[in-house]
Amino acid sequence: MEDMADAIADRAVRSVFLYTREAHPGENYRHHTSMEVKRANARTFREQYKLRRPILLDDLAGTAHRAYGMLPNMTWIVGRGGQILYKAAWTGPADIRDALEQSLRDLGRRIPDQLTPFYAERLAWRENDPDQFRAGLERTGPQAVSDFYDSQKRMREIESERRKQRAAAADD
Amino acid sequence: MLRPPVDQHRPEARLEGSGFQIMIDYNYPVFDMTAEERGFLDFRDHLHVGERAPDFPLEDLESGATVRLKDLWAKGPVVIEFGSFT
Repeated sequence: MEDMADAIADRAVRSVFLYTREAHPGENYRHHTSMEVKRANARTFREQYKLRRPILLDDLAGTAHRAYGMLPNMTWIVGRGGQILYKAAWTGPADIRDALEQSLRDLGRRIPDQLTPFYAERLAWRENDPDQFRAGLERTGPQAVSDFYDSQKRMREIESERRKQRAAAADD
Repeated sequence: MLRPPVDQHRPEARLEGSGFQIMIDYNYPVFDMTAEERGFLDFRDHLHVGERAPDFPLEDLESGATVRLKDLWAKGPVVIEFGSFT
């Protein structure tokens, strides 16, 4: 995302990182019990990933995060004046770049080519390395690891139950 | 303001009630994926492209200054990534 942010900074597009609650708290990086803990975690994040974008902290109650849908790694693009141009459940730099380029092109063409906006949905893709993800959990601590895999197992059990119920209902 | 998803395993995690309770429930000490599906539906069904983005005050990590979201999009588009270290 940092490289993507640099590339678009040339086009007068700002990029920021809005810091939320810890998605996978553990022994080494705990859930936030104060703004000081939140700031410390955010500083570690900035150093570890060499972030150049501004990091903006939400309040402890997650007011902004909750208003925007509370998912752990969303990206939103907001146009001049506050119109939402793009909302994504996860962060895929290539997709963001693509959407932004298209938006800028269309905004430029709006008046001369008489363009009118319309609502659309589109499926997007991102790279996802399970080993890298696990390494991140391990860095956070054993509790982060077990919480994730335990709840994944519970999720599979719930889904299995649902499938059985649907099959049973279909038979009636 | 969106209502966050109800967690079946922690039904007390409904964000009604005192600000203190909200703070406790939002900053969960234990990750639980089973709330994720409802969370996704909440994200999907509220606030769409074409609508107005809500404005909130945020704290700039570097300077400690208060920054309003609406100041970020005052002069041009802004890409906002949400996340945390973990």
